[in-house]
Amino acid sequence: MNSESLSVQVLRSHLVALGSANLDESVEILDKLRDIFDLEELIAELSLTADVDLVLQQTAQLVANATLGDFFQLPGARHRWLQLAGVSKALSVFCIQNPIESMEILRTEEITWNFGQALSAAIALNSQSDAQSLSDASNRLRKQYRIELLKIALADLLGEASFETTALRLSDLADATLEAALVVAVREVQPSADCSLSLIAMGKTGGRELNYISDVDVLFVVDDVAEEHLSRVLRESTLIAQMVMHIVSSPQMELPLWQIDANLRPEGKDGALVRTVSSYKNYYERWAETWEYQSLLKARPMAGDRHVGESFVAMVQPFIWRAAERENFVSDVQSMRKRVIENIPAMHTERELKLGVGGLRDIEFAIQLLQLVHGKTDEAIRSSNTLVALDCLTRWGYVGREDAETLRATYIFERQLEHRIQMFEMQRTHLLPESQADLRRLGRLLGFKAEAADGLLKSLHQYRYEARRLHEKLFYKPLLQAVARADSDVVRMSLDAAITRLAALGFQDPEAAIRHIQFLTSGVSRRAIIQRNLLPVVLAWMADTPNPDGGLLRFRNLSESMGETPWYLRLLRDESLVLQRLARLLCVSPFIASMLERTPEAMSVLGSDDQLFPREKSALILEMQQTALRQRDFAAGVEAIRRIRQRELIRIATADVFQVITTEIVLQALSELTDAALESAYQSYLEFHPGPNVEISIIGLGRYGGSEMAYSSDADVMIVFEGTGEVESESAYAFDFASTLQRTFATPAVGPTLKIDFDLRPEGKNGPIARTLSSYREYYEKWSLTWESQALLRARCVAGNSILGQDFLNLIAPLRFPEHGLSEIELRDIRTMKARVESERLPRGIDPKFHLKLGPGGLSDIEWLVQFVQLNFAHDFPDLKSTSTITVLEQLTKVIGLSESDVVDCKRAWLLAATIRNYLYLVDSKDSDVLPSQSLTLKIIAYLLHEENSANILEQWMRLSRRARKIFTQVVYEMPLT
Amino acid sequence: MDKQTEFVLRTIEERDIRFIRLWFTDVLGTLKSVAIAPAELEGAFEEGIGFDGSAIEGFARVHESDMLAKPDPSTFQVLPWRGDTNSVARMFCDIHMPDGSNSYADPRFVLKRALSKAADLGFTFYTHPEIEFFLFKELPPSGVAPEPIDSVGYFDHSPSGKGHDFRRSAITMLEAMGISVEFSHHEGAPGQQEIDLRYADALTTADNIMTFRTVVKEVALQQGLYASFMPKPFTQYPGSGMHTHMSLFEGDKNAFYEPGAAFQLSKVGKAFVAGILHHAPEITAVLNQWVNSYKRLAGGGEAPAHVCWGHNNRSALIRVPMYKPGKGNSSRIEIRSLDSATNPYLAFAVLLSAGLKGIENDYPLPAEAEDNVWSLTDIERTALGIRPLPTSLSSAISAMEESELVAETLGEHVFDFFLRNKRAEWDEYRKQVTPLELAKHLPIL
Repeated sequence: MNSESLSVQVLRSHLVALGSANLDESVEILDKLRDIFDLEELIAELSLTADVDLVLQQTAQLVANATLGDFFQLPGARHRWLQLAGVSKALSVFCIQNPIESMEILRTEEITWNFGQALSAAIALNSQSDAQSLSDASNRLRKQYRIELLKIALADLLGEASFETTALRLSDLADATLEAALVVAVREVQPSADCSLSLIAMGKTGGRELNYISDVDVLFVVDDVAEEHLSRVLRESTLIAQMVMHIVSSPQMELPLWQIDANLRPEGKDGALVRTVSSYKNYYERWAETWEYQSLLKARPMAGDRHVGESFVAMVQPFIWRAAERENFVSDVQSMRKRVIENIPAMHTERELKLGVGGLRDIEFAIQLLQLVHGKTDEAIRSSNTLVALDCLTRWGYVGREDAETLRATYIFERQLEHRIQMFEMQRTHLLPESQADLRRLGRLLGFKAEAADGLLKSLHQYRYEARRLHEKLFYKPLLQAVARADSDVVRMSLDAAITRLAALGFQDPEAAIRHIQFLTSGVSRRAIIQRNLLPVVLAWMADTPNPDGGLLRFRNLSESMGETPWYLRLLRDESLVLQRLARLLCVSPFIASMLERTPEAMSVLGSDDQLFPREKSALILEMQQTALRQRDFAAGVEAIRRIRQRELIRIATADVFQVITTEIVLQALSELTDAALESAYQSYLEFHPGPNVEISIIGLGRYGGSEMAYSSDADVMIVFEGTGEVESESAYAFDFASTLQRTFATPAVGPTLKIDFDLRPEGKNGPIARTLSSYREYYEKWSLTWESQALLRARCVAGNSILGQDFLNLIAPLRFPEHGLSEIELRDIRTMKARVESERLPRGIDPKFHLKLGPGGLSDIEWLVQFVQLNFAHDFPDLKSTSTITVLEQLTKVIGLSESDVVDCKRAWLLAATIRNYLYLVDSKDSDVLPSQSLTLKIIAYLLHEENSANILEQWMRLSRRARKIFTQVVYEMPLT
Repeated sequence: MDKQTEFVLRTIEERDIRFIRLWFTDVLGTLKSVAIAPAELEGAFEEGIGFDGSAIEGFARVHESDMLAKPDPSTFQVLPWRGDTNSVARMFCDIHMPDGSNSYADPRFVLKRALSKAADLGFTFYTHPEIEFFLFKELPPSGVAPEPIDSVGYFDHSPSGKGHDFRRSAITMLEAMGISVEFSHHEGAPGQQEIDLRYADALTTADNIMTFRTVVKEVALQQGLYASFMPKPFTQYPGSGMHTHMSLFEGDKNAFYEPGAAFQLSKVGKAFVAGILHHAPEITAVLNQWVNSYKRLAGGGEAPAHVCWGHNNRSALIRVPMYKPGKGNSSRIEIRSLDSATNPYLAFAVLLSAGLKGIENDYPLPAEAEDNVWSLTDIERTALGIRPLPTSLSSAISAMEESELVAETLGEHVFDFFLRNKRAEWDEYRKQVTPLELAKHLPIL
C-alpha cells in the first residue's frame, strides 16, 4: 500500500491503536508529514516509541526548524530521532534548537567517546589573540556538554549501553566538564605556580554512578605550602573554585548544567571552600562525625592536580576505616538510618524513589554501612561504587548471594526508572510522576507493553517490597554463616567480623549472642534448619528493642524446650506476625517469656489482633469448668484452671505490650479472669466434694473488687455462707472450701500462682475465714470501724451463689453508703488514719515521689479521694455506688464540684501509675511499685510507652502526681464537711 | 564538628592554656567549677566529664548520681586574672545524663527549654541587667556589721576613688572576657556600685551574670576588698537589685516596638507585660529567692512591692522606659523586683514564660499606675486593683506551689527541689530571735 492512500480516517484509527491521547492534533501532524515520510514505515516505528503524541509534536517542530536533507530517509537516524523524541522533551528541544550539531550525531552509526577532548576543544583558545570572555567559554562548554549528553542518552535509549555504563559515562562527562571549567578558571585567575588545586568527587560522582541530572558533590583541596604562602594560595584557589562553580551553574545564555555542591566539606556551608590536605586531615582527626566518614567512602580525584587528589584520598582512608571503632558509631548509625526512613513527607512515600525503606538511599546506606563495619579488616570490600561494593561484599560472604541479587535488581530498576523520569525534562527529581500519561510513557520505556502504567507501578511495588523484606535480614544472614562450623566452599565472614557487626547493631554482649546463634543454628536437625532461616529476621526485630541480648537468650531457652515440637516450628515458619511479636515479647518481658515456655500452645494468640482481645467471662467459665470436671480430683481441676488462666494472661499481657487494648481494659480483663477462675473452682468444688446443703458466695474486695487488678495483685476476698441445717458441719464445709481454694491456687504448678487473701475479713487474721450472713451482720453492728466501711466500698460478688452475694451487699449497704455521710469523729478518724498510713507504709530509703502506689499523688491517694467522697455522698448520689475508681472519679464534678480538668488530671495520674506498675511487672517480673530513674528497665518502659527519651517519663509522672496530690489534699484533708 | 570547637582547641594550643575550668550552675544559682587538663578536653566535648551529681544542690538522688558536664564551646574564655602564662580558661557546661539526654536538673537546660518555646513562637529573648552590689572593706566576722568602702551616694564621684579604681579594673576584666559593659556608677548607698551589661540574648546574659559575679568577687579580693550580692545587707540603706530590661525580637525586628502606639509599645509588648503582672506573685520566689530578698522589697524607694506597671514610675514592678525617637529596636520593658542574688537562668526562664503566656492568651494590660505606689493607702491600692507582691519568702513559696506555669517552666524536678529547699530555708529563719526583738522586747517584757 502506498502512503498516499492512507486516508485521515485510517491515520486516526492507527493513532488510536498507538495509544494517542491527543488525536486531533496528532492526526493533523501525521497528515502533514506525508511529504517527508513513508507514513506506513513511520507508523510501524511509532509503535516502538513511548509516547506517540510527543514524538509527533517534536518531529513537526524539527521539520519546521531545520534543513533536513535526507535525514529522515536514513533508517538509523530516523529511528534514533523517534526514540529520543519519545523519551526526552528536553533533549529533543535541544536538537531542534541546535539542528546542525545534533543531526550529525543522530546520523552517526558508531559513536566515539572522548569527553575530555571534546570539552577541552570547546573552550580552547583558537589563537593567541582569542580573548574569550568568561561567559563565552561558559556557554561553549555547556553546549558541548549537552552534545555529549545527547550521545550518552542515545546509547542508553537504544539499548547499546547498560545502566552501569551509562552512569559511568555520566560521571566521566562530569569529570571532563569540571576539568575544562578548571582550565578556563585558571586561565582567568592566573594563579601562582604553587597553587595546585584538586577537585575531589564525592557522592554519586565519586562512586562513578551519576544520574542524568543531580548535584555534583565536590571537595576542593590544595597542596600544602609553606606557612608564609598559605593565605595567598588559599585566596587564589578559592577564587578558582568559585569561578568553576560560576562557569558551570551561573545564569548564562546556555542554561546552567547542574549545581556543584560543596557542602560535604568540613563545617558545611560555614566552612572554608578550599582547604589544604593537612587542614582536612586536622579536621578529620578531631571533629568529623560518623556521616562525614561515611561520605568519604566515595572520595575520588576527579579534576585538577592528580597528585594532590591522590594524596587526599590516601590521607582519608584510615579515617574511614576507623570510623566503626568510634564510641558513638552504633547510635549514630541507628539515628542516621532512622532519619533516612523518617525524612520522607508522608504525601510522597509511595512516589519517592530515593528515600524510604527499599528506596535507593536505603540500599546505598546499607551497603556503605557494611563496608564501614567490615572494611577495616578487609580491604577487598573498599569500593566507592555501589554495585561493585555489593559484588565484593557478596564474594567475600558479607552479604548472602540471593539477597545481593535482589538488591542489585531493585537498585538497577529504581535507578533506570529515575533516569527515565529525569530525562524527560532534564530535571533533578526523584518523584514518580502522577499523571497516567507520564506513567504510561515510563512504563513503555521500561519494557511494559499493554497496561504499561499499571505494570510499572506493580513492578516497582514488588521490587520495593522485596528490598524491604530483605533489608531486615541483610545484616543478619551472613552472621549465621559466620558461626556455622560446617566446612564448605562458601566464603564466610570471620567470627570476629560477626562480633563486630553484632556490636554495631546494638547487642551489648556480642560474644554471648554468638553462642546463642551457634546453639540455635548448628546441626542438621529440622529445628536448626528452620531456625537458620528465621533467625536473621528475628535478630533484626530484636535489635529494634532496647534489650536484644535478653530477647535472644530467651529465644534460645524457648527453642530448647520447644524445639522438637513440630507445630512450634511450623508456627514460626508460617506465621510471620507470630514470630515478629514473639521476638519483641521475648526482649521486653521475661514474665511473658517464662509463661510461653510453659504454655507454648498459647503462642497461637500472637497471630492476629482479634485473638488478642480478652475473651468473654462466660466463655472462660465454661471452658475452665468443663476442663476441671474432666480431671480426677479438685486439685487437678484447679491445676487445669490455672493452665487456662496462664494462657489468658499471655493473651492479655501481649495485647497490653502491643497496645491492642488500653490499661483500663487490661485491669478489667485481669479481674474477670480471676472471677472466672474462682467461679469455675467453686463449681468444681461442689462437684468433687458434695457436702451439706449450703450456699457459698465469694465477695471480692480491694483492687480486685474494683475490677482493677494488676498483674501483681492478690485476690482479696471474703467468704459468706448460709445453710439450712446444722451450723457446725456447714461452717466446717465452708472453712474447708475456703482453705482448699487458697491452697490449690498457691501451690507450685504450671500456671502462675494466684494469692487468695482473706485478711480484709472481720477481725482480720484472728477471725473465721467464712461467716454466715447473720454473723457478718452481728459483727458489723457491734464493731465496725471506719476503715472497714471504706474497704467494703469495693465489695463485689465475684463468684458462688449470686443471690447470697446480693444479700451480703444489701447487708453492708448502710455501712458503706451511710445515710448522713461520715460523722465528725469518723471524718477525723479517716483523715488521721490516711496521714499516718502515708508516713508509715512507705518503704525506707525510697524517694516517695517515685512510689507509684503509696507516694504523693499515687494510686492510693486517688483511690482514697474516691472512697472518701463515696463514704460522704454515695447515699445521696446513687451514681457513686460503684467499685470502679474511674467511674466514681467521673462523677466528682457533679458531686463535689471538682473542675473537669482536675478530674482529667486524676484519671491520667491513676492510669499512668497503673500502666507503669503493670509494665514494671512485665519487664522485671517482680512486684515493684517504684519508678526507677535510670536503668534498662526504664528504657524498656519508655519503649513500651512509645516515649523516646526516658527522662520524659519521670517528668510526666512527677507532673501528674503533683497535680493529683494537690487535688487529693484539697478534698480529703481540707474540704469542709459538716 | 563545628568551627567553635576547633577554635577552642586551637586557642588552647596557641595560648599555652594549662587548665580549663568547666563551669555550671546549681539550682540555687551558685557557680560550680571543675578543672580539667587540655588533654581531657576532646573527650569532654564528645562525651562530657563525669561527676557525682548528688554533691550538687538540687541535681540528683544519691543512688543514681552519675552525671556528665559537656562544655559549650561558644562560651570559651580565657580567665584574665590568671595571667598570660600558664593561663586558665573556662567554658559553661550543659549537664547530661549517662544516656546522653539533657538533665532536667540543669538550670541552663531550664532556660534553653523556655527559649526554644519562644523560638517556636518566632521570638528571641534579649535581656540587659543592671547589677547592683556592695563593696566592703572586708568580710566581717559573724555578728559584726560590714563596713562599706565609702560613704558617698548616687552618681557621686568619691574622692578616695577606691570604688572608682575597682570599677575600672572590674570593667577591664569583664571586657577582656568578652562581656561588654554599658554603664557603671556609684549607687545610692555607701559602698554600693552598679554595673550595667550590654544587652544580649538571655542565655548569654545569664552566663555573663554568672561570670560577672565571679569577676567582681575576684577583683575585690585582688584589691583587698570584699564584694557582696546580698540583696539587703543594711536596714537603713537600699538593697541591691538587678533591674533587667527585656525585649523580644522577631528576626531583626523588635517585637515590642510599634510606632504611634502609647509609649511606642506594641500589642506583643503590652501582652508580655500583662503576662508578667498576671503571674508576678507566683514567680516571685524564683526572682527573689532568699529570706533576705524580701527585706529589700519591703524597704520602699526603688524596690517594688506591688504588682503594677508604669511609665517612668520607679515604684512600679514593671517600668516602660521613655522611648528615644529613632531607636525602634531599643524598645523594652524593665522588671524591677529581680535582685542580684537570683539564679539568672531560672529567673529569665520564668519571666519569659510568664510574658509568653500573656501573649498566647492575649491578657489585657491593666491601667498604668501613675502615682508613687508606696504613698498610696492600702484601700487606695485595692481600689486601683493593685495587688501586693508576696511579702516574705514563705508567702512567695505558697504562691509558687500553686503555679502550673512555674512547674512547667522549671520542670518538675527543679520545681520540687526548689520548693523543698526554700521551705527549709524559711523554717530555719523563722526560728531565729532577731536583734530587733531583743532590742524592743527585752527592756519591757
